[in-house]
Amino acid sequence: MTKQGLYESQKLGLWYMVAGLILFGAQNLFGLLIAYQYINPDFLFGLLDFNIGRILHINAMVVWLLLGFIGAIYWFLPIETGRETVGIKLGKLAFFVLVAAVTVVVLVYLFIQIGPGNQISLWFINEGREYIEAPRWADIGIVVVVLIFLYNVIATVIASKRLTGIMGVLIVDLVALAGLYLAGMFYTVNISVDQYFWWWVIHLWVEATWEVLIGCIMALSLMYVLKTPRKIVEGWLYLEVFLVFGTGILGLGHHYFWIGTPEYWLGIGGFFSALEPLPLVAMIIHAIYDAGAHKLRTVNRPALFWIFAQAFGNFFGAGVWGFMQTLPQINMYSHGTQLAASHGHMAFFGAYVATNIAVAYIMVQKLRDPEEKYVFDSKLWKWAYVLMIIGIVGMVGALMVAGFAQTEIERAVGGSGWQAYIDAQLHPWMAEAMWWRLGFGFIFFIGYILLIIDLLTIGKNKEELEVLPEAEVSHA
Amino acid sequence: MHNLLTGSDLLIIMLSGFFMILFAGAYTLLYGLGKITKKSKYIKISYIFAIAQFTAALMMITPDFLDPFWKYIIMFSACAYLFIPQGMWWVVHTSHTYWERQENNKDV
Amino acid sequence: MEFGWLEITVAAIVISLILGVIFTRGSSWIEPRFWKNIAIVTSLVMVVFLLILTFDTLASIKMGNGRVPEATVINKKISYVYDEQKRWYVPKVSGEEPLFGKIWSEEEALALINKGKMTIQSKACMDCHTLLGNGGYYAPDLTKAWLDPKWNLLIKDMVGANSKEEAMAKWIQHPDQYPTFQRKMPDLGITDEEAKAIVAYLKWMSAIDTNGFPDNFKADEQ
Repeated sequence: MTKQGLYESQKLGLWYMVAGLILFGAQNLFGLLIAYQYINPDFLFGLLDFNIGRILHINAMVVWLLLGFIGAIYWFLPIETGRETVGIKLGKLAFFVLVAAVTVVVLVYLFIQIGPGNQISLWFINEGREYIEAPRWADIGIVVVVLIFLYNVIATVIASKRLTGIMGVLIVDLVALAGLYLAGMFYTVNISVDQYFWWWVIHLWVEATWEVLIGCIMALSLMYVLKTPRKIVEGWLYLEVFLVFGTGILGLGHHYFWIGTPEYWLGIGGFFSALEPLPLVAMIIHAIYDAGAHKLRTVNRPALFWIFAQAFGNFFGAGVWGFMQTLPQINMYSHGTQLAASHGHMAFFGAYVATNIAVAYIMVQKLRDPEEKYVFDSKLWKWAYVLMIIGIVGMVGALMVAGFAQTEIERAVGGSGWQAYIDAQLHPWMAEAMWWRLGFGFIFFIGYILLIIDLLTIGKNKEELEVLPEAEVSHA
Repeated sequence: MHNLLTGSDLLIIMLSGFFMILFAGAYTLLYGLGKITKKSKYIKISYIFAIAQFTAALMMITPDFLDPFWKYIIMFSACAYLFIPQGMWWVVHTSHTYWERQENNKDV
Repeated sequence: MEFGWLEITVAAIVISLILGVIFTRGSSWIEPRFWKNIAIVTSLVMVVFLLILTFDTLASIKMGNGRVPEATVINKKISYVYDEQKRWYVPKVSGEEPLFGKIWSEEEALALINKGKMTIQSKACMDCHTLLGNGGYYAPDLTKAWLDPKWNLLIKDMVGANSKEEAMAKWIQHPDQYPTFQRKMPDLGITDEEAKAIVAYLKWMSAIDTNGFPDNFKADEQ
């Protein structure tokens, strides 16, 4: 252990989270850039075109969320197993390899951008498949890093001679996560086959294995932040796995409506995703119960509030925004419009960004207040919290209005042709929404900056903190 | 399917779908708040959202555009949302009291 | 597959339920063990169903098996017609229609569209355009781009070409010189060979049966 009472594993977790949060900033900046290009298409035209900015925006998101998840697990692993992580040196090596690889990939995206139409481009420059554009060599690197991480988790659990329910779920989930990535690492001329397996990576990652991974991280966080009994947390985690895998695996079908795959996917996908909001609504009760039963008494206020943001964000992003466009008869028109962008922004922020920020606050508390003598709090986090939520809701609202216009004008009336596309883009609902989106994007970015400042300063001045009552310190 | 569709039908279905889930969430949230704070005022307001949720579902199935089967699924969901808050409250409350009691007994 | 989607869905749920009941006998719902077994059973059942459906789907989307055309479809005339029975549009392949003035052999056609696919990937087209509705929303959907009337109506004269495919190939190489509204496509350094390959790919892609997506598409009748 280090002098703050940290395990080496937790130090490594902290590095991952810091790297993740830096990439989160990059994600915001490239998001602002491409949002501005919607308004002024000549900006950086020919230098840093929309497609490259967008690759950087969405890849930074995927990578920063993953870094945050890995960081969170490295953080909680020694707490859960009661021992130092096995293979910590290997884990550190993997971290530096990953950071170096990400840097190289970003530089190649920025300065080489695209290549001629051959295998060399796909291996070394850009694979050109949305979300997983990283060139093939980097794919292999990602798999190796995840395998090292997986090995560390499994070896640590074995060495601790105790397999808790949470760790069991986590290991199974990580195996699936690493395995699914392989489904995206091949080239085929047949675009239907290409997109069939591409969705295995995108959907089964984001809507299945990531959700469960987040479930594990939330379970660990709740035991820490609210001292919820393990039996409840574990029972709840299993229930979540049941709901996520039960509806999510065949819910994959809602991506197979229009890619050339057989008609039965219309029914299967529509059915499972129509039922998807039911459990999300049910989860709300649990969040309220947790909050109320403890009267919001916690050792870490910002973490607790970000956990609530997660519970509601998931409901809004996946539930409300998902349901309205999921039935095949509707999706026929809304598919591939700004409505999908609207849904994506809300869902990723709600489910994943909020979780990572909550974990970041838990980490920072341990650094600044190792003995948990204080209620961790500050004024600034509330500003960051409010601005980021206003920012995301504003962006999502603007994109939703744009999406309705596009669905109506381009898809339903215009029949999705080239001219119909242009007509929709020029419609005031669409054009003005892009200004609103940019404005709220700036608000979000200010929230991000305040968040970083707060993470760097919160808890430094102990006089501002409320001291925990003696009874609760001993309980903790 | 296209010959039945008018642009306004599409907007009606999408918007009512949006509000259906939104109101279901508001109903659940207020019901939970009422229960936890023991204020029946919240619970009474929550029922307004329950009705609103159901109305949105009815709106969603008014256009001829959707096939009957999907209308059944929507109405099934709408009925389920009416009872989710109560059912879920019971589940959460029962399991929490049970395990917290076990936990406390262990401490003693 | 001889089963409809409803049978598949019901079967997945019923099997999960039955196995769930069997494997949770003797434990109360309040025990984590109960939910653990339910979770394992359901996940496994769903994975098995996904694998079965995957085999069936892969067989039916193999090139030339009906839903996804053979490479040589680029030598055929493709149109998009309304199917009364299905109540949606389906691609229709009829008669010969040479591409770039020639009929491509099976090998040549496959090599050509393969080049097209590789170019579409390495130029990151999908981060502005949507293909089969998936991708970025900064530029038009390309699912039926081959059938778009704009090539004949506007682009052909704009770039000074004699045929639709020639117009497409020319435009793709220098799109920044022929803007169609404020937002322009950048010059992606596409070679003549690559441009022809992309055109062939778009033609091939327009013949994929996409269950009626996009609906109501006003295809070029020429």
